[in-house]
Amino acid sequence: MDHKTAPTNQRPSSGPSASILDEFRRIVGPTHVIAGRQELLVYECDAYTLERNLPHVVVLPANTDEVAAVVRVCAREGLAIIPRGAGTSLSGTVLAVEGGVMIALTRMTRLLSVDVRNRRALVEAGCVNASVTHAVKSHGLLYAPDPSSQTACTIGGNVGTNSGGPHTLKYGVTTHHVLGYELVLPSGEVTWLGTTLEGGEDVDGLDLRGAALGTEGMFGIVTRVLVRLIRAPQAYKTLLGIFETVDDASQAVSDIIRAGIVPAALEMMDQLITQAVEQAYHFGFPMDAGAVLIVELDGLAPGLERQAQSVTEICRQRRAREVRLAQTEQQRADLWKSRKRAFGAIGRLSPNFITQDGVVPRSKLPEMMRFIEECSRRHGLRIPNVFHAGDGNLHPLVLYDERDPEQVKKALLISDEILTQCIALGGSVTGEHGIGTEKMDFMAKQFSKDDLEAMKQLRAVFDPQTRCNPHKMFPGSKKCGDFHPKKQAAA
Amino acid sequence: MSASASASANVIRPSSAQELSDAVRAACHSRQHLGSIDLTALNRILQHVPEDMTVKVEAGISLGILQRALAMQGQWIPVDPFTPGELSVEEMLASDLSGPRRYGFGPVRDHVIGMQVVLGDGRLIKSGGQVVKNVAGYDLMKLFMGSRRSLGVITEASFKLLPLPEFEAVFACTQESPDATSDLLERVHASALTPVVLDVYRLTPNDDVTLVVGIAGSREDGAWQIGELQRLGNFEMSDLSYEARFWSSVSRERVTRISVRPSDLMNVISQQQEKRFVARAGNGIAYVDGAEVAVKVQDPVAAALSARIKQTYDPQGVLPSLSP
Repeated sequence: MDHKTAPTNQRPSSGPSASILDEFRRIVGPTHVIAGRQELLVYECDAYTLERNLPHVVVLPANTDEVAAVVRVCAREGLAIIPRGAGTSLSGTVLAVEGGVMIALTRMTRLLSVDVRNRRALVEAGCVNASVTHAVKSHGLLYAPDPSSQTACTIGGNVGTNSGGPHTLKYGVTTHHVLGYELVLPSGEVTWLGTTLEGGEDVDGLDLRGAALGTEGMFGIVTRVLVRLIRAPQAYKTLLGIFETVDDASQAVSDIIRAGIVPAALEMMDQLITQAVEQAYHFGFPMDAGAVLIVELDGLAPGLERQAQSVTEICRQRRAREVRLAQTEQQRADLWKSRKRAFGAIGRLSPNFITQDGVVPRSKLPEMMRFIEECSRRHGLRIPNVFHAGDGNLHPLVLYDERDPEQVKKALLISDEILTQCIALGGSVTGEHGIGTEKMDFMAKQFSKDDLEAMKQLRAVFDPQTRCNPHKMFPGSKKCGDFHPKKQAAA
Repeated sequence: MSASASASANVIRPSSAQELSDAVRAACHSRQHLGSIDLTALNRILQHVPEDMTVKVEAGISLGILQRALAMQGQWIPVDPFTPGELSVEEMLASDLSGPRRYGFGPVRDHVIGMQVVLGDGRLIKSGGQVVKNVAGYDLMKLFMGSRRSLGVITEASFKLLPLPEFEAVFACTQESPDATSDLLERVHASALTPVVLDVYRLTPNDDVTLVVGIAGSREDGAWQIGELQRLGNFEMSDLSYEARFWSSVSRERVTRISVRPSDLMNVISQQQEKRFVARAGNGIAYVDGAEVAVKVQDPVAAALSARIKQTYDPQGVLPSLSP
């Protein structure tokens, strides 16, 4: 991740009084209230580090009752609430823009029950994504959404942002795998949306579960989640296609989709990323390839052989230099480990980077990749790409050095150009990372005033005072005081 | 509710979403209930790029016509509600309809990626977009699916598509004892099979229950699954025509949807001994003709939120009220 060199801004002075802090301490226990400046630094940003600010206080409740009690105090006092999981958001979704009471779910990590017959599990919101699959593996089950941060990010955070991951190409995103959840409203009331632990999957009335999912923590605090589990595939075939150019690889992606093959995952890494990953993890990627594709097919074993042959054939038609098949489960695991740690390898290339998350219709992928390359050349900043090609979901990583104000300016400009182009091609500015504080101003480019107003109205139903995760999502919302790239870079 | 019902005999037949928007605004202005809305003129496929595996349509289009057009490209929206006559995409979405293949492909809401809606106050809004993965903004679409036009009328919808399966086959097994059917269902569920249909039904009162297993995918998978299935029980080649036979022999108002944990389904059915039903055993959902079930009480907080959403998007109450 980025180096932290930006100065931390002073938080506004009007925080909770000493007596309110004592009230929090009585609810959650004295050691679970963090108000000291040094300790608060951990919470000054998430994985989007361009903007930072301290919350006034961080409260770490142990259960739903404690969350509700803390939230009721905040409601009474009119204090802003910022729900937080593991803080892995790449969009500043849990940034304390004006301070406020951050409620972190990191003590609520338990997996409460597994219903193997009905393929469901009840977890606390702070339960780490990967630990769900780990816990149910022995039953031949898994939890499908698998963000690259899955060893750290929480299920509650996943519900907040409707997280995706490589395997969402075939299996869908969080909303398809969450049956129901408990939500503490900003008023402190507790409700359960969607399927209950002992209930059926169809629920009468409006689909509030679906409408409040992915609202980036602005509708309340998710405290418990009933997730859907799926059966682990009987077999996998994981292929690595090695291409001379990004263009060839992009065309192969289109061809695979058009051929009626639905891979479990279809990921691309370009040369810059492949080199960085290879230097960091020594998987055996060729250093001179223009791009590699990871194509994972899964399902019943009998049909996979022919599918793998088709994919190999398509890659070769698009001039793939080589198509390798993972021969063992270990090779497959290593390949995925390399892919999922790709962001971590960027530190070798650059002190800072901005990750973008735009989406284009799949047929526009080659065109979009050429656009990014052209941006990189024109502005003179490197932009490695590692992304969910099968979904058309890009992750260009704009590399810059925050000590050089010119580079910071260019990095922001490039991000802007890329996202604007995604919209122009009929896509979206975010496929899975969310709007957060980072992309608020793009909402007005993607949606009309009426569209945005309808969203704000729905938010007002859940949070009439707009106290829950304020200053996010909507254009024109307040930015952090210290968002001054020049000042930041000069520091 | 402030609107009067006097205009309810009127039928609105908009030729564009804007026209519907104007009509709804007018109804709000005069505080009148909207008459029935006929969307059959909104029947165009607006965009289908086979390479993108997505389609955008006007919501009045017949689902059957749309699926036939998509099939020309080897694609489909993986939904299969019983379609008497010309069920439209809008009716399917507004009533959250699904069919036997729901077990394998999910409910219709899982396939919708974008939507245009005329709200109860006449505003024309969109949510989602044209791409298969998109988390920009709130997912307002979920509110309009299954809410039977109580918040707004869907005028356009975009779907992500799947390739049509290369192979599909349906098998059925009818046994005298409900316990034997239950056991067989459990064996299929626990096996390595990946059915896309897992149904039970009884079309004649007091008849035996039939278990249905549908498989789809590649030819190789199909051959393997058929072999496995034959080892589990005495299955015979069949089809999905029971679904149409059930729905055309009942009056919809008498059909109760019962949704339980899948493991509870056979118990629920055994309590409806003489009743006719079709059930998605894999999903735990039974459609029972003339079932008597206790009315469920909605969580009061969720009910209050729903009422406020209704008030927000349909302030004059010109649309149908929230369904229970």
